[in-house]
Amino acid sequence: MEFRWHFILYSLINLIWMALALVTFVFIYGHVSLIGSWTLPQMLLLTATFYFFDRVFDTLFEINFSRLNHMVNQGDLDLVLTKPVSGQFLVSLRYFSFASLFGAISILGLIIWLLARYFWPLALGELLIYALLIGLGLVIIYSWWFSTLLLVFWLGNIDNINQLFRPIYEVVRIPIDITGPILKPLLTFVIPLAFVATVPVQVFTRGANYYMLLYGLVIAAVSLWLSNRLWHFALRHYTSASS
Amino acid sequence: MRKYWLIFKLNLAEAFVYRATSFIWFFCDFAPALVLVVFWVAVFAGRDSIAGFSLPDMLLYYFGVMIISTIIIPHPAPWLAEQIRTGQFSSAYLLKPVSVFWERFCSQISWRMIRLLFTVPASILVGYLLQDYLGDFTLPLKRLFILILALILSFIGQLFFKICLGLAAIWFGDSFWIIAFWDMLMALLGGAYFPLDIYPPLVQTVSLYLPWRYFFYFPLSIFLGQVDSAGMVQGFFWLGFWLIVAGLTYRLVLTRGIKNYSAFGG
Repeated sequence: MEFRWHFILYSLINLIWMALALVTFVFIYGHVSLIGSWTLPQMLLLTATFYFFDRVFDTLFEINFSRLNHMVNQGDLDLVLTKPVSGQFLVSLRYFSFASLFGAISILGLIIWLLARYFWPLALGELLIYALLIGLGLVIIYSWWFSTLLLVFWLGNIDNINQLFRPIYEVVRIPIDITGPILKPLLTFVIPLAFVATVPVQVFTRGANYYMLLYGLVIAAVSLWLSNRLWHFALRHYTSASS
Repeated sequence: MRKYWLIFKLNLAEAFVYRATSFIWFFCDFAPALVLVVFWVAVFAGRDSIAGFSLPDMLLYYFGVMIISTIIIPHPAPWLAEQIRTGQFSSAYLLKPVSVFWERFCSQISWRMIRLLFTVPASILVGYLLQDYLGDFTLPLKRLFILILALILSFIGQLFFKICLGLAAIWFGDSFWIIAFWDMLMALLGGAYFPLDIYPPLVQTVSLYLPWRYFFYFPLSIFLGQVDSAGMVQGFFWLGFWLIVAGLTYRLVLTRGIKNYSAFGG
């Protein structure tokens, strides 16, 4: 809160971005009634869910991911590795972005409004599964995104390495099930980006799919484990610059 | 001029050394349009036309967005803001006989040349994959020269404005939110996100009096062959107008900024 106006303006800009994305879909649906099988309220909920996920993800990881390149190349990673805590945990969760958290809370209000307006009545179980799937999506995306950052151990100084995964991740802005017969299974089961927004929202549009929930639990655990293995493998190639 | 040639060569060498960085920025500019291609293919399922666009029209549109995004959108602002925030702006510019604009111009051009190493093959590959939809597209030499002129003017105008966004850090400490605001307006009112034709008439009318349309949508329209002679004249008039406004804004912001600037640790 030292730079209060930055906090307020940054939060405002992010909310305006989301609002304009929502309004753009309203304009598009003025020309069509369905996109795939998605109606306008469903698309709005998908978009709001994506932005909520994005804000929560940035709250937890944005600052930390942007610092990893510097830590590896300047030798600051030594200070992390000597601590009696998981190095991956420390480099991933040391700092928080409260500006993004404010945006997440605001968007959560929009999600609640959309659910109440277009999807009521809802069972408590559906809401819990929706929240759980978003949580699993966080673990999955974190694991994949973190793994791409590890390239700095081999490629050296890449100051925008934290942006490498973003264009891939942003495919989740659109429903994964409209992406076609090749991309749909790829983005659902292989690089499971569908767990960011599409699968959670489908709880309300198609009902809870317990197989997907189970698959999400398994793939989240596997992804996290793989990212941890990759982290330890990358550390073998780390040469401290400070000692 | 010799110093700027040296700056260009140094930045070119740096851009080649850090080509992974250049690739990632290229990927960030190129890939979003691919996502929208997938989106519009789904939207057009069972439909011949939306807002006057057929599916081939829309795919050609985003093919143009992919290419033009990687060429003419400069990013000097974050680096400048960081220089100001850390106090290095003094040693980088104020104590040297170097123009902020020309130094950034040479730097941006050099990095873009490395980007072409990725843009050209990627564009050829995407063009090959979309050839069934792009079959009728042609780019005659005369239109190509006009396009290049529009791209150059657009690049310079954006560079002026974006340098001003970076210099805003002198007053605000950080200009990240201003840069984000500009990028948002460019994506929406410049047509990088969706074609302006899908927006309501009011939004399209407002965009006629704002620079983003001429910095992105106008060159894109030339590329697509959607501008007639009268439209070209009008477009270049407004592009020139905004170029002059951008240049004057840059002079004003720089002059005022230097008076207000105080270095921290630089």
